[in-house]
Amino acid sequence: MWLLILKKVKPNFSQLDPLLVYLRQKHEDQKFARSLEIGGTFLLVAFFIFFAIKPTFLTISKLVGDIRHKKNLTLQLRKKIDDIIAAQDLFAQVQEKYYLVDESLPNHPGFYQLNNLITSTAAQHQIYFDKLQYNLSEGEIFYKTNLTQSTSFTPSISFLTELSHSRRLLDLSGLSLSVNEASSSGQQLNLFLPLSIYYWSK
Amino acid sequence: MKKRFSRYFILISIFTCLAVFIFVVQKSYDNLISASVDQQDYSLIKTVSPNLNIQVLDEIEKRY
Repeated sequence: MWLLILKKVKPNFSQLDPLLVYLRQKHEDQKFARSLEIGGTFLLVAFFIFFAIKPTFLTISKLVGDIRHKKNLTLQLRKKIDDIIAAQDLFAQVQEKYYLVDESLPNHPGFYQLNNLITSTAAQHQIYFDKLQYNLSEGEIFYKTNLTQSTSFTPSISFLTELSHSRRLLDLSGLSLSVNEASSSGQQLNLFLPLSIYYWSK
Repeated sequence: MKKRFSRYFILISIFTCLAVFIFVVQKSYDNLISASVDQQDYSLIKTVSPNLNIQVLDEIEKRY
């Protein structure tokens, strides 16, 4: 019933149309102005971030980074200083034994001491070298000598054992024992001992 | 037309703002980190071991 009445009574909108159009236009303009406002605000914020906040943040972050870097550096240097002090203390304790280092690896070739070592050790086992010749090369940290003598087996081994237990740093690169056919008893051997003797080259 | 323009304008301004913000954050972080990266090449901070090998002295002492 009511539906029929409503269908029959049709209002005449022709007079209201311009008003509605105007209102719609007005509403759209307002919406557009509001969106321009929002967009402009965002752009302004971006501008503010770029020209005002960026330099401040960069300076702050650089300063914080530098402070952290300095703190780390201080800690590491303090640890290094502590280590050096500990090493100094330890070195002071072993300083009295420094002569051992000097005997083992002298800061000069030390021909005289080596000569004494070889001749006295060899003499204990009845081995006497006619000649000892040392070959010192420029720029090397060692020099060489060849020990050659005719001797028996046991003394030569004893000599070798004793020499290997000396404090001087020696490198025995090889050992050669061969029968000396010229000897009358036939028990004599030719001993050939190439040695490299190290020293602290500056 | 106006509607479309306003929508794009808002979108562009938001993304611009976001991009600038990310750029500033990234740059700040880079500044913060670069100091500690430089530190690794610093020759003065190379560690020194305080341990001296003194056993070798005992070994030498045993010899004659």
